[in-house]
Amino acid sequence: MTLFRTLNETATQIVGARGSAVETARGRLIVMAIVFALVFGGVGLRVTWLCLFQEGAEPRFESFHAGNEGSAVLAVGRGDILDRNGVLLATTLETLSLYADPKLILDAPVVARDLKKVFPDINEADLAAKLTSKSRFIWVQRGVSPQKAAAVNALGHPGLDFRSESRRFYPQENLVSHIVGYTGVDGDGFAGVERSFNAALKQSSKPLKLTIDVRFQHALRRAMLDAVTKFNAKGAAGAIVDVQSGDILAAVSLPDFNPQDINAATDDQKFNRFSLGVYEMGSTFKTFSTAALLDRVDPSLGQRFDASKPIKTGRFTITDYHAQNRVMTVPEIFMYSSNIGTARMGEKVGTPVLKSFLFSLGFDKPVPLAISEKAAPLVPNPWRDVSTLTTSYGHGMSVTPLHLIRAFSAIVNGGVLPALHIAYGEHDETRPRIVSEATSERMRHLLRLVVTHGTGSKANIPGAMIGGKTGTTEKNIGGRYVKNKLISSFVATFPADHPRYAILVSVDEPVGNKESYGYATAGWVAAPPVGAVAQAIVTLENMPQADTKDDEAIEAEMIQYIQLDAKHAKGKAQAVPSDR
Amino acid sequence: MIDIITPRRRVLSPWTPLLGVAAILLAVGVFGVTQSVKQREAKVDQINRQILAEQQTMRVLDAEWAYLTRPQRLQDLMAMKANDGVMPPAAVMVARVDPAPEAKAEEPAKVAVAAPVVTPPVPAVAKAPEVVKPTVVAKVESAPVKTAPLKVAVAAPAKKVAPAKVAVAAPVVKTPAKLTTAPKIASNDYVWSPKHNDHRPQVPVMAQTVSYPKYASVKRAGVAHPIVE
Repeated sequence: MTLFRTLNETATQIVGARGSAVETARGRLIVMAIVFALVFGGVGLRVTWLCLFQEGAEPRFESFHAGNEGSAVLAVGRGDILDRNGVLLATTLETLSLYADPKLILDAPVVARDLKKVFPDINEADLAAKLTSKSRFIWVQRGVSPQKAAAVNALGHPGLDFRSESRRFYPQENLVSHIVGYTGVDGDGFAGVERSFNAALKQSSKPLKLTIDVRFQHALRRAMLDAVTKFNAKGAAGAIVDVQSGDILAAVSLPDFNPQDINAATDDQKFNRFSLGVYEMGSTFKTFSTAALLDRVDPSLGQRFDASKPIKTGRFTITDYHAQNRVMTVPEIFMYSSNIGTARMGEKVGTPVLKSFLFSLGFDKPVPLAISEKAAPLVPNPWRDVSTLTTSYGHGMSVTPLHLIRAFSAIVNGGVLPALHIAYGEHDETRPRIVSEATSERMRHLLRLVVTHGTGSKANIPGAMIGGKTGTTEKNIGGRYVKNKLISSFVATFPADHPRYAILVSVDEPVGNKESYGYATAGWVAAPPVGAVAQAIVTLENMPQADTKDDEAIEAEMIQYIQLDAKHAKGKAQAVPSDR
Repeated sequence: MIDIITPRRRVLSPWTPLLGVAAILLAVGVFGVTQSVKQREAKVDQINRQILAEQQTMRVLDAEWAYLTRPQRLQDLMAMKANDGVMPPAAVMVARVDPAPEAKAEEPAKVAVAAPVVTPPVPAVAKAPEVVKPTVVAKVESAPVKTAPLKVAVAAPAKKVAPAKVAVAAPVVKTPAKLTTAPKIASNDYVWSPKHNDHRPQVPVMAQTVSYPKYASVKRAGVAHPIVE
């Protein structure tokens, strides 16, 4: 204190000429002091600021996205794909890839020998040569498991290191290959949902939920594989659709591929038959021409059509595969799958009505669906009157299996056309009405008749109340029908009183065997797998048995339109051995 | 000419040194707080890193779980077990309860079960890892009616494979004695509409017949193989 006081007391004020010099000096000192104060003050503030707010510091944590309240959320990269029950169909995992820096490798042959012990697949001599090269970076092995990475680290060789890489995994292997699709090396989707939802999957790590149910998918694939193996077929396509919502519960194309190992897949394996393949669907189309007749022209089932002799128009002759050679009612024509009878029905409907009816079912454009692999149908152009006759029994118009099952769903579900969904949770705003409820019910009864008394008897499962339609076509190769190259299809719905599911199985070029007495037609080839799938669904969903009274009522109603010969009498539902 | 001016007296306020000391103390305090915050942040980072590692592990295990429970593998395992003399569980379809005759209203109404069909069943395991206990859902919609105890036969599970019990009894609904008719469940009780998009039908009487094989109950934590193998 005294020190300050002394200093203050000695301070004097000098005036005059000297005084002005002192003033100048003082002024300069003050300026200097201000400048220094500002600079040091600035530095001090900045230091305080940096201390308090850590601005510009190294990031505390690199791969961490602040989630709720700052908790860590993993940056997963491409989003997962799940089935409707949350079963994983595709996921992205971080994997380790082993690389080497040859400059740091001490003894290349020893390193190569030790690595061979960990990875038995690698070429030891080749690797040793690479390790002595002048490059600074070589890949040794991509996608190394954590166990093997630990083994490599345990070797203790310098110059070996790991890099973390994202890799797409498909745990279900072949099961959902055509729907899920696959990704390329750079992580872009090249097929299926991986392709059509590429942007969404890349942007957000939120999982994409599909309408597929892997259990249904497996049941369908198993049944189709059985049929393909049994009948030595080239391939098959099939789908299960929820007829009310339009959700695709399963869709299988055989042969299929393992998306994990896409380089090994052939083009035939990658080809998606259910949405990209267009085929003449044959007699399954009779469902639509019959519905057109009942809904647009005449609802009576008792109306008769002359199927006693083949129809000749121009260079075409329409014949029956299983000829009854008589006048038949609508249920008879449907049950025996008479081409002549159906052509007559198509004639009665007329070209403009049948054409617009088929187009309203979506047979004029690609199926609206959220995958990229879609084909447009082949429609007769120009549409002549003979096209009306042939199209009514499924020739002259080629559609994809998905077209068929969608239109079939509309006929059986009460008459409204659903959009097909592959992403879970989508709903249709409006669905166009195609046929009336009454027509839909009549059609279901006709379809049930085909299974109880007609060509589809091999699909019958007690209590499941399946109704369906067979269809066999000769393949049209280069404009001409090849006799022994068939496509055998069966499309069905169940339970026929309150339909929930539509199932389609279409087998490409089946070859008849001993068990089928040489037949490769739909009743032998495609109907049994549909029955097996229905059986699996019934078990999986714990579905109650269909009401036998309903079933008996349908039978009683239908039987009055049918002239049964002894072979097809009630109770002996052993159907005609084959079908067109 | 020199003017000597009387020097000004400047007295230092007694608060000044106190303020200085306070400032130093505050600085030390702030430094201490900053340091402890930094330590805590480091701890948070460490925990976050641990969470990320766990999440990564969970993703690997999820993928592995999906791989190991893929339907094809379960079916193959089932076939393998069946060769040891174990029958695959039969596919059973649950029938409706028919209106029981009035005289027999006191007796337990049996639920008829359709004959087991021999087609190989789909292993229903892929959906959920936990073992589902057999349950019976009895849904009685009409006003109180007399319901006799229901005996529901459940698919006999394979001896060595399935942990599920063989038969379960439905809950008994006690009702006034004056009503003698058994429950009439109309066929159109079973109605499914697009609203129920989860594929669970409204089923009047339903027995859970799914029996899970033993390996389905393997705890996730116990799985040790990496997916890439």
